Amino acid sequence: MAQLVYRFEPEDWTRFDRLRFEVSPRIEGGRVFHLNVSVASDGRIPVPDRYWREGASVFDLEGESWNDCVWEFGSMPRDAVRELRFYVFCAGHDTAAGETETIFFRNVRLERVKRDPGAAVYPGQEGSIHTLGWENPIPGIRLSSAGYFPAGDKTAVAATDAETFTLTDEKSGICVYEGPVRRVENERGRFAVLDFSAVDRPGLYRLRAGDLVSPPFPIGEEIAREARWKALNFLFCQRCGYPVPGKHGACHLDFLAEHNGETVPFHGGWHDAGDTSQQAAQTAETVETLYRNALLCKDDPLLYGRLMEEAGWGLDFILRTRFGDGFRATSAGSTRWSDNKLGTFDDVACRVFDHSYENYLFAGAEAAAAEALRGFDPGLSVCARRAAEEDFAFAEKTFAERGVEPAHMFEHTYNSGLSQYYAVSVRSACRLFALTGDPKYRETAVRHGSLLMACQETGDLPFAGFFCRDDTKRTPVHFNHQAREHQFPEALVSLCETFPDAPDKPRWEESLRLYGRYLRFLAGACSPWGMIPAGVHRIEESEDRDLFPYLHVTCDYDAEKEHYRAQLKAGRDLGDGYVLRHFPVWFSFRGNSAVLLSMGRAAGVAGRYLGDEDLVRVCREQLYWIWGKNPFGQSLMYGMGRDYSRLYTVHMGETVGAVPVGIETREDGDEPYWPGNNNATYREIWIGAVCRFLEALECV
Amino acid sequence: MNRELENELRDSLYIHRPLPLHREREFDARFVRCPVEEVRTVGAIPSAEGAAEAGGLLRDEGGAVGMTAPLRCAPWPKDTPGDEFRRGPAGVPL
Repeated sequence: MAQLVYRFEPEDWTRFDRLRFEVSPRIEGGRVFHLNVSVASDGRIPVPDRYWREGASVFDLEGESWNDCVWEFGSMPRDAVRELRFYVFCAGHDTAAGETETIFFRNVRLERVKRDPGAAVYPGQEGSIHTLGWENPIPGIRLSSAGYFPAGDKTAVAATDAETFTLTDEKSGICVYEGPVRRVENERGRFAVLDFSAVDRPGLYRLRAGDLVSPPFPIGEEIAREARWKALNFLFCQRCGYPVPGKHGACHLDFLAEHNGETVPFHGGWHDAGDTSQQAAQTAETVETLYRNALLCKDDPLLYGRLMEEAGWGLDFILRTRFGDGFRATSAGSTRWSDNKLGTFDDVACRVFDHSYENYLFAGAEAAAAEALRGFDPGLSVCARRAAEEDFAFAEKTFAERGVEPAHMFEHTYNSGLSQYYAVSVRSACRLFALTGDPKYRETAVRHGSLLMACQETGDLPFAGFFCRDDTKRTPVHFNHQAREHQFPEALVSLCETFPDAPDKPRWEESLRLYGRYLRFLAGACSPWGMIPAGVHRIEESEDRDLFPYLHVTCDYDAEKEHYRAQLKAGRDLGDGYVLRHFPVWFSFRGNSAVLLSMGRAAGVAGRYLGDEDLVRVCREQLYWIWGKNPFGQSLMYGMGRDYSRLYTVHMGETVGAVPVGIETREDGDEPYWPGNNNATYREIWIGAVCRFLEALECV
Repeated sequence: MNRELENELRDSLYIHRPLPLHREREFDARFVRCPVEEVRTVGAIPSAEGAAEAGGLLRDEGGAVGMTAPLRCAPWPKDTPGDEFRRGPAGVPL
């Protein structure tokens, strides 16, 4: 690490809202530049915290020019600052870049911003930008600035005293709708809701309420097309092993996976996040949703073709990293540009496993590819189908032998319980049956479908319907980083659609309806915001030492047990030993984009099959949350809408279409927290979140 | 879809080059426009440390301070899994 360090006798910086400095970085031939900044404070709440989530920020910079950098740190404890550090990791360099980085700094200063009641950012009150809580007191209209779909509810949430609002056509200036501002007051705060659901005509509009005017935003199906193109942009820029113009050259060519005397190169697919790692399971899931999205866009040949191309990039990776005996290369940590030379110090040995969960998952992705490629690339379709059948067989064998695998902290499927295995195997088996007609897939699908339903809470609780980790029904399934909630309704819908004449079909549908009831129970809990809560928890989960490593990677149970209890206590008591959490229980990894998008897809999948518009609406609302209808009024998808957040991109550079890990909570609370720090995990770009976004988008 | 984006997509060769960022639409673009009522310069003298220590503290003619360092150091023993590196003080996530 190279660092420039300022040290002080402890100083109280509380009076100041932000750190500001100018910086000019230079790397000969450099294309992406970033700089880390951190503060150490030994005050009432020490900073940084144990996971470095507070006290650090990252800036994406232009090379060879002076960058005016502002770190809004109003929510960060800073009452005894003893150190300010600017640093970069010696993390290798891109093919085009030179060997050395030189960085100059000037005008390093602290600023107190003038309080101005009329300002959009500083509300004229103590504190800084809005960072914590459901109610944003700063006058403004928080809306899905990327737009709304014509169907379903369309609302924005405002801080205004106005009694009425208008919706104006941007081109003609004509008011097309006028309605009353609806007042909502609940335990989360006081809100003004602007409901313009009655308007479904495509166009460009603005909302007005009193003195407040929103930016122009579209209503129309076209927003899905825009979102798909921008997600494609992000994925293209995340390609590993490929020269991305303006970003980097072909990379990580010296990441190798070895097994049984064979070696395969592990570059390809898409980097996991800003750290350039690779998680093959995420690449597989992204392949699958890209193919499905492509099939939805066949009437748009350009977009269809481009989605197929990007999916093919990922498919190539997941096919050639199989060893052919059930083992495959699964992941590699990186956080650096390696030198692409084999045998030097920075080579990385990738992990290799034969886990049944992954093989079920990959079989489903490969089967989806085989289906999508039939008329597009018949030879590759055959290859994908063969791989799907083989991987499914490997999964069946190891699942029968070993059942649920031990958690491995670096594998992104670590949190899977037994019911998750059933769900993933059912959806893959259904796909394979549809492809092959082989009755063995029907047998597995139906059998595992029954076992899956045995894991569903079906008692007389008003919120029954959720799935538990196994048939003891001791612990509800919930997610706090990676999220695969959607696999449960996908499994049930796959069964119903693949075997429409099966005698079990009424049971599958009843299970799906019960699950839908659970989602509807959750859906209004964050009103007037549309975010779906993380789910129900059992109070005694915090006492389960054995389960902890499956749910909370990189954390120590004894260190977090009291925080676990405190977070459950901060949730809403539902009685009978259950608690509803708006946000997941989490410690190190925080951010709920994938969680809410997975649940949004779950609602969309169930809603589409059942013809339940309420559930489809839940799915849309998760997209609106991502696009800015959240308490911070910031679009979480970079480049979509207005006021999009800067993200923690590190080696990748800021990229249109990126979605971060997501909005977090502070300490042990259960309300939204979005600090000004540009830091991991919450602001880190992540293909896991973009994949879930595309999956949810399929359902609206 | 608006014409600006259609043009950008075409210019990107339908995304075989990254789309433009439009940083002016970032939420953070608001920050630089906020009027400031009090400023305090960080006046301490910094030190260049770690991999930058060998190059010492740089100063240019305009009064800026700086550091220089190799991008590729060799602290990683051969075959170090990337994850071990990732568990350093940056706290970089999976």
